[in-house]
Amino acid sequence: MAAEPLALDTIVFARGLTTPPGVKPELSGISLDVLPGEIFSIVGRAGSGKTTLLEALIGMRPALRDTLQVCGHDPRRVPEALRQRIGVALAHAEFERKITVEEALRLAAGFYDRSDPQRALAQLRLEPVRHRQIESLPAPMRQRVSLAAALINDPAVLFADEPTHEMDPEGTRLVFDLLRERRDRGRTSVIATNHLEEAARLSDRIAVLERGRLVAVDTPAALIRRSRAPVRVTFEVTKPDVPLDALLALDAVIDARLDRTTYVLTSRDGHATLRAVLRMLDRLQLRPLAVGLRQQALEDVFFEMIAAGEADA
Amino acid sequence: MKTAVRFARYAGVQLRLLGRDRQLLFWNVGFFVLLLVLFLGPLSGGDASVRVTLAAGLVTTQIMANALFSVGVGLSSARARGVFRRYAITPAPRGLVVGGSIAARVALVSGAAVLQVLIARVMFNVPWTGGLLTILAIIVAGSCVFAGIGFLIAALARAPHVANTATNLVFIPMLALGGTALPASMMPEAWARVHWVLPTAAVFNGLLGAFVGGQTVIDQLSPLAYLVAWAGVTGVAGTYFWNRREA
Repeated sequence: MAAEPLALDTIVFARGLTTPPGVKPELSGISLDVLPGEIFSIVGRAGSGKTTLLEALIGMRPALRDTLQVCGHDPRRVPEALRQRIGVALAHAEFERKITVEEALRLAAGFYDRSDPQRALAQLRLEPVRHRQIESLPAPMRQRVSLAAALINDPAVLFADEPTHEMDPEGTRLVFDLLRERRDRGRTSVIATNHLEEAARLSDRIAVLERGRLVAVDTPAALIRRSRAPVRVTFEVTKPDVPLDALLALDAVIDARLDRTTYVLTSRDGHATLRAVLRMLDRLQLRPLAVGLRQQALEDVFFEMIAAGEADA
Repeated sequence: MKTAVRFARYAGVQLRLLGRDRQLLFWNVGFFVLLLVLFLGPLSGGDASVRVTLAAGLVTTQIMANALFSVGVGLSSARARGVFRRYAITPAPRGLVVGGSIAARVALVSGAAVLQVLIARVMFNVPWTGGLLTILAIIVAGSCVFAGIGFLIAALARAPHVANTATNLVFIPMLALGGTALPASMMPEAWARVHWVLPTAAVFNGLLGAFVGGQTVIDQLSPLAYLVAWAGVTGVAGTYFWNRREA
């Protein structure tokens, strides 16, 4: 008998997920909620535990002292019932070499109560290779087949490990469009990825994993805002007559220099500095030709968090 | 019912895939048919009793070699490549996928053995005094035994190369002591004692009895039960160790 969902508004609910000793990499006290219709990314360095976490969430890894529910089920108690509702694309999970794409999808479809292999073929644009054997396909195509198999039952939650790892730009765009289309229909996707900028572009929320611990879970914008690293404000004026001393005296500015005709300021608060610069130019009656504020990228924030994690360790 | 249909469909697809592998087909079918034609033809010297013994020996060796290697090494390789992991993430019960893979291999090995028996009958007049049903029962039971041993090896081996070595370590003594390479009457006493324990002997002697001894399924109930017991024990042990490992 399936347990009642612990939280009705979450589709993945994990509290204190910890792997038993000996499982590498270890997961330690992972708690997270994934909401219906979200694209939720797990990012981290190689070996940080992304795949282990993904596998633990679908009940393929043992875990201790935890509460775990996916779609209202404990994946370890009712794996088959749950797997009717989810789709999983894991790394290192291959099809038989001699099977054709269409056979592979039909065979996979046969295990679900409700499935549509033709739709999955079309979604991943696999019709031209439907009669090709898996061993004859290049890696990006094989990854598309893997994803098609995971989407064959139009799952309520898709768990995908590095879904664009092998893909060319066209395939990557296709996968992103698919994930967004799923989100528009209220379907949830949980992906583990090394590609931080892709995760930032695609995800509603991101979990940063380091050495088996969650360092942060938030929206990409909020994660970037958390950064304490300085940002860069740049501006160009018709005549570079702005005194550097005056710029250095502005609030939050820690460095100012002139690079040919462009002033480059390093600031602890980009927006405050930008406003102050515009007021100063107005006072000096200088017309800005170009103004720029370079926010931190997720990658910068990621390394900041990793460094903080290492310091804590 | 649904599970049975899914099992049959999965095993059918696996059998079709095995049929697409030309190298595997040659070693499982072509090579042993070639040996049969060669040994029962020019190398038998026209002696009918030698032809019968050789036919029983070659069919037994085919069953033993192919069931052991195709299940032992085949399943281990498939696991290393992540094939079972792929199905572990679907609602397919794990037993269905592994069982279907083994069933397909048993079907291929049994089919190849039946083909050998048919060729031996049609081309070299090897009789079926015990009836085709008896021969079929021995072939299928024998295939299940060696598939069971292969499964146990695949479950215990950490990598395909380990499975390959282990299968050879099992295969060679069984070939030497099973009666197919050396008649039990010519073995030293200690070897002969081992011979009678081996499933190879039950298959070989059962086939001989069905070819020329006039032994029917009823007459062969004891050796068949012995083979079923071997298959059961190795299958249960294989399942236990297989389930302990990650797909």
